[in-house]
Amino acid sequence: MSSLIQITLGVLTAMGGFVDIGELVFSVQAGVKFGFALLWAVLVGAIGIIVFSEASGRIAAVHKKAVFEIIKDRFSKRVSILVLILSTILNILTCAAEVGGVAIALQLLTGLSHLPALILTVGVLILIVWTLPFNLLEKIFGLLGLGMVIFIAAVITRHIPSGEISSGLIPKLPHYNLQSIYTYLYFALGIISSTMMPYEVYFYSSGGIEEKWDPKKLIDNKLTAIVGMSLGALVSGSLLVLGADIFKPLNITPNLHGTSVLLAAIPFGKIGMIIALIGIIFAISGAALETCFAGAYNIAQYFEWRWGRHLDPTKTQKFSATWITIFIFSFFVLLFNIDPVDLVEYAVIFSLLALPFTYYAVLKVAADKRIMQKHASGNFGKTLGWIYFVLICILAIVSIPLMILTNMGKG
Amino acid sequence: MKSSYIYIVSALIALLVGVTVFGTQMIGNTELNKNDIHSQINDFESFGHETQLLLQNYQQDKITSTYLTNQLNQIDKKFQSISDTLQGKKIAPKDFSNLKKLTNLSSEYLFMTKKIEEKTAEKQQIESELLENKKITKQLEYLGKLYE
Repeated sequence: MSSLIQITLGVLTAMGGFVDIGELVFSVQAGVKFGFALLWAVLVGAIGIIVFSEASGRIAAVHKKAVFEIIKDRFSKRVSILVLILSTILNILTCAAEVGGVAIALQLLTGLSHLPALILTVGVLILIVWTLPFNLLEKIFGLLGLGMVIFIAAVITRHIPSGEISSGLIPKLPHYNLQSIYTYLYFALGIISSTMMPYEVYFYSSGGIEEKWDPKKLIDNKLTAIVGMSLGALVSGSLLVLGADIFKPLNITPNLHGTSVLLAAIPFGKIGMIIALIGIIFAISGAALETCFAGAYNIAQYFEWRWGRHLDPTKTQKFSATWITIFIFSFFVLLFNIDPVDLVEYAVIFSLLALPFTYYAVLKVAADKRIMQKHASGNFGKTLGWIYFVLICILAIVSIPLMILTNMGKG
Repeated sequence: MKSSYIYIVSALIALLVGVTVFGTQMIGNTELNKNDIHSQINDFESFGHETQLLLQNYQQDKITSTYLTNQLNQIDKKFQSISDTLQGKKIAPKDFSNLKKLTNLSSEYLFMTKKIEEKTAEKQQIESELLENKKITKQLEYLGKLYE
């Protein structure tokens, strides 16, 4: 039972990580542009985030340190401040995109206009985070975000031959022109990056510290990472499949994240539409909460302030002021009528620059026998981790040139 | 870690950000080329098809009027934003008439969605707008083919 409860942390992280506003557009667009051919990227991202969240959770349980604390230990002061600045900018940008996404979904559900929906979103998020204990927060957003599972059900109703879907799990370049290949690679990179965004491990490991994990929780950690992230991957993959199956033949390239709701409405009608919207509101709110907390955790851990939502907010004044400021800053960013989808696309691509630093520290500490003792990564975990590290470095190098070459995926 | 490494990494990041900003600026200031026009027409066309799907699903009672009007409103904004982008760029003389057609189609689309928003309560009465949208989308498809 305890394991089952713990899984909700993973579900929240996974739903927020895989199925944030960027995913709603990126995955569906990938399906529209290349059919099932990019499903492998969802799988690659899923395995990557399972490897690194499991390792960061294990470090939190054994070493009692969150990811940013180990970044600070591993790198010099200058490098860690550089990572702090970069990750804080990314966390704020992503948080603003998620908050904007929630506001739009709220508009689609209730008919509120933009500004009231935005004020309501930020106000309610601050109120909920301020008043509810951490474990209740994760359960509410994690479980209600499960409404996104409707997209998996929608795939089942489409009766798509399994052979067609599984063919997308093997990477192959499209037989088009060079520009199409660049676009294909840009989408593959976007899917992998959005799945492995660093805020997920910052939040996940700090969440482990909040919940006072110890080595007895290592099984729960493994289960949480595998089940939670796999569920997120299934939702993300379903969005891609539905995009390929429903929108591609109709020549619709969804540029609005509200368009994805149609993928649930077509098979299930209004009920499906409402469940999808509620799922989107809670999953993206979960992502907003994760990014906001990840930003506050990193800053607090770097400056060694008292931090944690399990503590009374009046006893963690600097930490509390930081997460409230991030929410308010996100609100002001959105007042400039910036499209949340554009914002998150920039955040996803630029996050690749912070990934190598973050995952290098996680890999090194997780494999360090002096720190982790018998819980240090085994040969399989180490090999897989380093393969991913090399992949991340390659993606970081090619990300921005590809972004320019493809005009942000528009070809 | 050596301090030189930090400066290299910082310089690399600054360079990448700089290249992106410069690249975006360059794209923003240059004359519209065939690919730009094709991409903008594709976006218009995609929104036309999406509108078709929205209206059909609304008639089949699969989506709410709140969702329909809000989604149309978002599409209106995108149409407007694409039109503004086109108007803000340099256009080669040979593309004038096609882009004029595109702007007219955009205005027709915006006028059509306004009419839909006024009568969403009557599902069957949007039949004429559905046909109008089909006509606009067909013309967008034709324009798109000219730039393939």
